[in-house]
Amino acid sequence: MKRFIIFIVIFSFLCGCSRTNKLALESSQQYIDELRSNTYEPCLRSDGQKFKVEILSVDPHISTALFYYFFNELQNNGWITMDEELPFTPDDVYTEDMAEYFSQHCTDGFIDITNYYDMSSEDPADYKKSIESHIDENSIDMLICIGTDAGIIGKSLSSGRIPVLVTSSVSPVASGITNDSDTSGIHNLWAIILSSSYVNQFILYKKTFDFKNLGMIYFDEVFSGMSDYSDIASKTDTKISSIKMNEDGLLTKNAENYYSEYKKNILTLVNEYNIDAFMINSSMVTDENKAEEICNMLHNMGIPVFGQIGDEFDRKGSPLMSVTFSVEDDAGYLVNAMAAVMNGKKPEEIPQEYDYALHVSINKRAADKLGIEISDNMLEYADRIYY
Amino acid sequence: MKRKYSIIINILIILISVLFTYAVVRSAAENSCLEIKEQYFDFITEIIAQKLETGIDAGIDINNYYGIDEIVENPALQDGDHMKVIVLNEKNKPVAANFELTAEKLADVFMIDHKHETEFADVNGNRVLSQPFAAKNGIGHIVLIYDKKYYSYIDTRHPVSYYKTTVSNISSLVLNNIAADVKALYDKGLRPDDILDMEDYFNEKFSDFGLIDRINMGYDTKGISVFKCSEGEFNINMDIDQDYVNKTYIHILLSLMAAFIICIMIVIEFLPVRKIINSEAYKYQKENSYFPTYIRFISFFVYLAVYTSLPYGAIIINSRGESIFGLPVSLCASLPISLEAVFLLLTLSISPVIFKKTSIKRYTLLIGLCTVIPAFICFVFSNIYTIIICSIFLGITQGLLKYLMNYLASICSETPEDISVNYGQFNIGILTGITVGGSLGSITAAAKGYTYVYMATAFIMLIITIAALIYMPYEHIKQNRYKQGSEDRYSYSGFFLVFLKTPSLLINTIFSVGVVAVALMYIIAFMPVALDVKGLSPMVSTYGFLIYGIAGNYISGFLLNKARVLSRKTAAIISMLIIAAAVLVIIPDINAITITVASFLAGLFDGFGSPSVTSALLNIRKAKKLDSSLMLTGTALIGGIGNAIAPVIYSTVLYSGNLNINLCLLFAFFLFSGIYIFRMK
Repeated sequence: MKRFIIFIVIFSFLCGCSRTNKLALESSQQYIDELRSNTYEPCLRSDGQKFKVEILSVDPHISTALFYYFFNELQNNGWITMDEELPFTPDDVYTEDMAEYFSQHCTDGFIDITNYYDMSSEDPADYKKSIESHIDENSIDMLICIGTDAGIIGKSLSSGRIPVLVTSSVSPVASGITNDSDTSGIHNLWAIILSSSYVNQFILYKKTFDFKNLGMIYFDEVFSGMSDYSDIASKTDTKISSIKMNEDGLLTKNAENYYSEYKKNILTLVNEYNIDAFMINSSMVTDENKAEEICNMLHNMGIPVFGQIGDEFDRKGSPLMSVTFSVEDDAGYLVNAMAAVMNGKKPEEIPQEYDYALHVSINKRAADKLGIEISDNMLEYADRIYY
Repeated sequence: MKRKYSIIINILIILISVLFTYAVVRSAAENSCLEIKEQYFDFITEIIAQKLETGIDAGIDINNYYGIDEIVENPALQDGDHMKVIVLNEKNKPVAANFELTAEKLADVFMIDHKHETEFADVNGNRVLSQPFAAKNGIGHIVLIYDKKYYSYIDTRHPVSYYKTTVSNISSLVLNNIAADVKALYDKGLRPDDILDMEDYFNEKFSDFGLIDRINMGYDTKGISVFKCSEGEFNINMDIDQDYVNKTYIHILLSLMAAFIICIMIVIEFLPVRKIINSEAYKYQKENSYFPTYIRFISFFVYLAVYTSLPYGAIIINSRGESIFGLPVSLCASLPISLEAVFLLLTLSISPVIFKKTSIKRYTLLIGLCTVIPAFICFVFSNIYTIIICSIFLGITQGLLKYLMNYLASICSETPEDISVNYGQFNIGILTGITVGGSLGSITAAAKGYTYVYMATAFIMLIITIAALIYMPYEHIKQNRYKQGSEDRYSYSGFFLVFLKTPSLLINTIFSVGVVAVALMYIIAFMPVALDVKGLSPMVSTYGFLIYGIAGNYISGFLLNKARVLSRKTAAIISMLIIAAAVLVIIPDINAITITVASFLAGLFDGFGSPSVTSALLNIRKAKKLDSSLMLTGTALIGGIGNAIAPVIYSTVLYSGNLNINLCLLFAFFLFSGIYIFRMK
């Protein structure tokens, strides 16, 4: 009896000693269960058929890289199987050729991309009719929309009948595609929200050069992300001085007049509004030589220029600093959301906002000229450095 | 037959000594190699943390950072079989990993209690590095969990040359890493002159990398070529910190010397017994003259076993930040030694009862089991509870042993001089055992880690228990036992009654013997913990114990002889000045030199001061009126209490408030005791 009691005491003690391990195991199991509930494996429809997905794109220029990485991600995640390695890169292929290649070389999988619509080259009536009829016939399970206008049309055509996923829209909330930024608030709609990316970009620029009065010229508040910039500016005790301009001259043969007026507006911002920094908008200045001219002009006046989101300025590196987002990130997030919907989650339940890694370009010559010290950390972090 | 056994035992002793020494040198080299590799991991994770922080500075939220998986794909950390890399957010939840997330693999991560600074820890046999970074809403961590054995393994028989190779390999890896970063800067467009301006920035990354002194960049200089440009070939090279490397070689050499000295001391203690085992007198168990040797042998080995681990419980508890009952960590760290002293005292008082009810063989077995089992359990399940319980059992072991040794000393002695010799040998055995045990513990801790000291304790105690069970002349002892009967030497109740009537005697005892008891714990309860607090190598502790033992065993005997010309009080005051000096010498700074000097003085105090102060107390008027055995009982009790509270006092000195001020107070305390002894009547 004594020995038995001693054994029980020692055993209980040792069990107690391993309590820490047990707790840790329970916590980690809990975490794994949570993680698994947010991980989605490739699957077929309930009738055993592949999901049918159609893509509506505003502009092939926007969608080429996205398309490329989208298919890459589908393959990486097991949704499609290709019979060979991709023989092209995003820069040397057209979107429609890519779509055709994928339809020919996709040997197996869980989804079929049944149609690709290019809004810039096709008649709106045609693609709208096609999409609507496919929805009526139940021969489409999901519509992916690339661009704001595509998202607006997709939302309207679906009328809540099929899931619509929207990407590459500057401001889905402001444009009315979704109701909210955390989740869409519309049961069949989901969109990638970039608003925090504008915020992150703004913070990064302000940490590099602590401007107090940022000048901006824009043509549309939504497409320029003005509400997001104004919001973060007010939180960081920064003023935004802005001038709204008509973009019509940009697309006509009077581009010279347009840029003259643009420069005049800049000078107004400098002389009357006393800006100490300027954000150059890639949709307002599309000519990279003009962009370089404008940046040099402002840098000579001691006013740093920051590039708004987009890789348009990356080729010449004219602004002091510019930020791009990787479309690869976009594609990955899109595939995740698509997988969630196909596994039964409602689009309105999927979070829309996430942070992109910022890809930074720095103009070292401009920084030296302006006397702005770019930290060594930032130089290491940057993707491109120009002079 | 006996000659054969003698030769075999000789060979075994030499073989074990050589293997032990080699094992120590190899472990020292392994640890040194692991240290460099860990500095490299620390360097890599700092770079990753920096990159994350720059991105987070730009507003990225780590919980929604798509693409964060790339962060953990650093080639330097891609040995997936032996290393797990995981990024934790501010809530300690994983956001990226280089392995498939399963509950078992993540459990190690969830067991870690992260502090907001870089930290290495041992968890479930793995080594863990936790590198913090500033996330948006708190502190995140990059955690490396890797197989310590794999990364410390030396695959050659030449540990020192392996260390040289490791130095070369790691420095190449670092240089290649920097070269890749520099090349990346050039490829993204930064001009070479601007890259040169970043030389200091790159060098800052090595501020914690002891091995590397400096990275140099330049055109057409020595080193590896990074790129070619119009100015020439852009090269980088590295200066190794030769002092760091030399310190490692010295550390290995010191380990070798310490192991060698320990082997010699153990062999010296073992040789006399070997002679006895072979003698005719032992075979017929007729001679009492061999008992001093037995007593010294057994007490030496038992105390060696006990003190291999006893001083290190405090360090383990502190390093893990463990506590019980909501007590401060520093107080919990003092509990093992305090409780050991308390239970030693308690066991002493009940030992006669146990001894009466059992045979000597069973009593010997009990002494062994009281250490072997708890020490082994403590090694396997190392936590604050097992450490405290093991310490309690170490106290019980000592209590049981003290009674047995005192008993043997008295019943196996034919004359009062024999008793004195036997007690003397017991004390020498204790002191030498503490010396060698403390040093052995340090070496084991330095070589394998602190938890292995308990394994060493269990192993040594097992060997000595088996040896004692086989070789003790039990028949001879039994015969003496029946002849003389057992004696109950302790009567605490009598002591209490007397001291209640003479409070001044109690106060005299407290301020003399009580303070001495606190001072005697200086080497065990203070020195190892002080070294740990200051981040000094356990090797310093090893030599501290050795010097303490040499001073206590040999030099103090010389002092005692010389002190015969002095009065007892004067000798007692001098001894208190010695221990006060041991504190004074470390007030300016606790470093290897001051600790060595302090250990020497503490050893002198142990051998010279303790008997001097006890003698001074017993010589005062009031004490002389009492029965000497009662006074001895009283001094043993007060001394025991002093031993018990000493760790608390030393913990308070080390962890509460300003260390220098606390040390000054401790110095004043010992000095005051010396003055008090001077005024004792």
